[in-house]
Amino acid sequence: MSLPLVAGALAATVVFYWLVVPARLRAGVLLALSVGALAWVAPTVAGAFLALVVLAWLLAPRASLFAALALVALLAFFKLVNPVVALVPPGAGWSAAVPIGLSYVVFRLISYCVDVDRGTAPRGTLAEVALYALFLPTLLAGPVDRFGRIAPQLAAPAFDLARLQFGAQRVVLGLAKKGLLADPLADALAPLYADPAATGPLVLLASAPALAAQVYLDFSGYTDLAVGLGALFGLQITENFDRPWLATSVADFWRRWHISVMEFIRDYVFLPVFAYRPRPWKVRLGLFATLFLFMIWHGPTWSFVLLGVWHGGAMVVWQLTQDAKRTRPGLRTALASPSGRWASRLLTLTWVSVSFLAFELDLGALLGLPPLLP
Amino acid sequence: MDQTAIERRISEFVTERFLYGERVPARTESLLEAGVLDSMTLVQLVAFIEESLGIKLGRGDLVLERFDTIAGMGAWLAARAAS
Repeated sequence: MSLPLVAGALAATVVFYWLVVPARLRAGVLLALSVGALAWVAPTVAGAFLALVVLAWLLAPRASLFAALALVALLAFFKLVNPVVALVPPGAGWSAAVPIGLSYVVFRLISYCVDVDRGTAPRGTLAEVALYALFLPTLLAGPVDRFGRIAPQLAAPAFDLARLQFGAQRVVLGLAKKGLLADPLADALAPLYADPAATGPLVLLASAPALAAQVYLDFSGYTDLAVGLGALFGLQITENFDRPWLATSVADFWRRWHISVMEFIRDYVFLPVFAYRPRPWKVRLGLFATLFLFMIWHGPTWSFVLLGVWHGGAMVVWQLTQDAKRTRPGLRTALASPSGRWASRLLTLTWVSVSFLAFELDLGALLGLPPLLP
Repeated sequence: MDQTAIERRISEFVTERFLYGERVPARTESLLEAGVLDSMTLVQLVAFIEESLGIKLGRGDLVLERFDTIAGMGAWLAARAAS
């Protein structure tokens, strides 16, 4: 489908949505559009996602912990066994998107169940929860919003010309980042990673900043599209990036990159598990374990295991540095100085950029390791 | 322990531990927006509240927003200590 056709269909849908659809029906129309589009591409997946939403909504008031644990088990099963891929006909062209969409739906429903249990989110109507979990622009790459934050908007999205303009700008920005920058950059870099042995380690390392830029432009482009499309339909979708390349530490980087998922892990894994009755060893284990889990969530491969050790280990070192700053004023002053901050930024950028090579290279095969899973 | 005492103890802890004695946070200052409160400083704050103030917190209490201001923490923890 061509870009002008998609843009025309989108513009017509937005005009219809604001001029024809009554305010009280807008959320329902948005839900129908999202589920309809998903069902058009993958009807079984749309049905399965709707069933998950219904189950979460029914269980949330009384058995939220059970629902959340069942969702975790479901996600782990799909991530490790991935039975859906086996069911997809060859050449269908959408198998890779299924687990990604599942992750974000499951994360939203876990967040919903736990927040209802904690009393920090309302139960909402089934349609509101379904739209929160299945809003199409957020299915592929997030963000993972919080139901308590977005629920008031879902009841009746309100027209706001400034938000409409903002949405159009973000959609254009997202398309430009993805189509004009990220994709050509990916094409330019692909030959380097096709045969890593022939490319050589020095060239691979030298390519890391360009690869990091490509991943950022691609991923944040998707976020721009999600935020922009949400704004076009009257929804304020949460932001997912905050100038990550200005981070002065690995911990700072993970507060600025894929923010919604990192906050999800912080609020539903790190704080309740590792900050409950905290001890220094428990907190350091928690820092390592949460980053490790985050990486493994991308896929059960050696590349992500090594990435987990790389970033989890860096988080522990960062925490030890924080402890040292308290007792060493000289270290504190040096790190807070302009040169110290720029050196920290450069070190963080290098550390993170090099790690992005693991997304492109099969580190297990390069290191001669056996497959992680049979 | 009343709300005023709780706020004073927490303010002293935040000043000494997170701000290195360089400034004293205002009662209603957002510690999240000021960049003082994150998951790591929250862990230390939780340990301080439990060990020094003697108020035990549950897993469900560990929500970052609940610790955003010293005044908010004071009111919440005083009510919790009294219950």
